Amino acid sequence: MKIPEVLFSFRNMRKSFGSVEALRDGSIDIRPGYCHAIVGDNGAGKSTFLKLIAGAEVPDGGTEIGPNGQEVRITSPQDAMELGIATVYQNLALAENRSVAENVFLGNEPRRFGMIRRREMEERAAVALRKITTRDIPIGALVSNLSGGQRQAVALSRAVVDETKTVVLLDEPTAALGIQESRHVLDAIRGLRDTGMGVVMISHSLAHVFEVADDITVFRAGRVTAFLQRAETTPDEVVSYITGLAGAGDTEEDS
Amino acid sequence: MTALVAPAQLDVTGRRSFVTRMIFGPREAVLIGLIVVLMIIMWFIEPRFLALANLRAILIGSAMEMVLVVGVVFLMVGKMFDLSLDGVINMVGVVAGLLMVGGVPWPIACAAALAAGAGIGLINGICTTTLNMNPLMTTLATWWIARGIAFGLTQGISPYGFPQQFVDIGYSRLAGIPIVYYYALAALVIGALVLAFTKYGYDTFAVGGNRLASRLRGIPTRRVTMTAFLVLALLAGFTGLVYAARLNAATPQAAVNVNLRVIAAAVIGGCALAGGRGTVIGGVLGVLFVSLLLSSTLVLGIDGVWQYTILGGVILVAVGADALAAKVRGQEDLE
Repeated sequence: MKIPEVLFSFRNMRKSFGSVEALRDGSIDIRPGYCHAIVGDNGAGKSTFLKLIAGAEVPDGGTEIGPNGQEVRITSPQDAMELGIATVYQNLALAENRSVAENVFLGNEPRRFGMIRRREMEERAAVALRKITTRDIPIGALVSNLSGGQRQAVALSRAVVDETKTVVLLDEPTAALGIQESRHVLDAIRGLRDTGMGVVMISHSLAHVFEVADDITVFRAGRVTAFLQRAETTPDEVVSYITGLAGAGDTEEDS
Repeated sequence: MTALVAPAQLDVTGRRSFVTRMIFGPREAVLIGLIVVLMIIMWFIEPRFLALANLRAILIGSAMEMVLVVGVVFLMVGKMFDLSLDGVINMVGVVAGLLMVGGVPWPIACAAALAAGAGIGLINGICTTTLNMNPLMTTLATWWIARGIAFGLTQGISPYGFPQQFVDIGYSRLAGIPIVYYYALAALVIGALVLAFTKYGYDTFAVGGNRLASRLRGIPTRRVTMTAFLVLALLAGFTGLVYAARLNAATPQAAVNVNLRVIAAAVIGGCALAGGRGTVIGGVLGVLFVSLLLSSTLVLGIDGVWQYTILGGVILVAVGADALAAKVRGQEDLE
C-alpha cells in the first residue's frame, strides 16, 4: 500500500459560537509519521480547531481533504473515527466507573450479534496498553483508581487499539502530569509517531513541544499566524508568534 | 515473555471486576444475607411468617415491582431518574379499562393504553435529553399529568368487568405457576443479560459514568437515555394492565407509592443516584428485601401506616452505608 504524503488537509476552517468567532481561519496538514503541534495563547482557537477535526463540533465553513485527496465531511465523532481519526481529550474522556479495558474500547467494543466479546476486548486492550507504556496497568481495574499518567496511557491506548486509526489528536496530553508521568506520555507520543501515525497535539508546554513535535502551527486570535519546522525555529521565535510580536498578527495592528 | 503479560492472568482480574460490577457483587451477597437473617428473625418471632401462603402472597405482591425495578436499574445506571411510574401505571390501566368497557376489543384497548404510557416515557426522554431538563422535576410533572389524566377520565367511577382473556393477563397460570412470576423472571433474566453483555448495556454504563465522554466516543447518548425512559414507561404500562386485570377493575389509585418503593429497592440494590452503578439482580433482591421487611412489620403488628417511615429509614441506612464506605475508602487513599 502506498503511504500518502498527507493524511488529512484542513483548510480555512471556521467556527462561531453565537457572536463569538472562536475560529476564523484554521488550516493544518497532517502527515503520517510526523508530530504536529498546535500552539497558541488561551482563546487562540486551537481547541475549537481540534474539536472540528474530531467531529465534536460542526464547522461553519472550510475544506476537509481526506487521504486520497477527496473531500470529506466530519460532522460527528463517529465520522472522525470512521475516517481513522482517534482523539484523546484534555479531560481524558474516561468513564470513572468503568475498567481499563472498558475505557480503552468505550463505545466501540468488539461484538458479535450485539453481544460484547469480552475476552477479545480484554486481550486487545492489554496489547494496546503494551504499545503505549512499559508499566503494568491491570486491565480489570477501575480507572478511578489509576494515577494521572496511567489514565493518560489508557486514553492513548484508544488510538492504537484498532489498526484502522491513522491519526491521533491529543489535547494537552501532558497537562496536570508530574515530570515522570509527562516523560512516559512523551515517550508514548514518539512511539505513536514512529508507528507511522499522524499525531496532532495541542500543548501549552513549549518544552514538551520542542521535545516531540516535527511541525509547529501557531494560532492567534482564531487564525494561523505561523507554520514552522521544529528543526528550523527556536522557542523564542514561537513565543513571538504566540504573543503577536512577530508575523502578520491581527489586522487591527497592521492596518 | 517479558513484554506481554499472560492473557489468562489478565482475564482473571478483568472477569472478577466485570462480574462484581455488572452481574453479582458483594452488595448482592449482603442483600441475600440480610434477607436470610430477616427471615430467621421473623421465624423466631412469628413462625407463621415463613408459611408458604404468606411467602407466596409477598412474592405475588412484589412480582410486578420486580419487573419495574429492572427498568429503573437501567435508568439509574444511565444516571437518570423517573418519578412518573405510578402515574403511568394508573393511567394505562384506566385508559385500557375505559376502552374495554366502551366496547373496544381488549388487544386494541391494551395497545392504545400502552401507547399512551409510552407517550409519557417519550416526553420524559425528550425533556431530559433534547431539552436538558432536570429529570426529577420533569418526571414529577409527568407523574402529575398522568395521574391527573387517570383521575380525570374516570371521574371517580372506576370501569370494571373486563373480558376473561384480559383478566388472564394477571391471573392465569402456566404449568400451575401464577403468570406474574414468569413476568418477573423474564424481566430479571433479559434485563441482567442485556445490562451485562450487550452493546446497549455497556453504553448505559458509559453514559451514566461520563455522558460527555460517551458522546465524544460516538455513543448515541440521547438514544440510550430515551430508550431507557421508553422501556420503563412500557414496563409501567404493562404493570398497569396487570393490576387492572388482577382487580378486574381500573382505578386511578391501583398503584400508590410504587415508584418510591421501586426506587428505594434499586438504591438498596446498589444503584447510585450519581449513575454508572447497579445490577439487575441487586435491584430485584432490593424489591424482595423491601417487600419482606414491610410485610414483617405488618406481621409484627405495626400498623401499615408506619411502613413508609420504616422504608424511609432503610433507604437512609442504605445510602448512609454507601457514603460511609466511600469516606473510609477515601481516607485510605490519602494515607
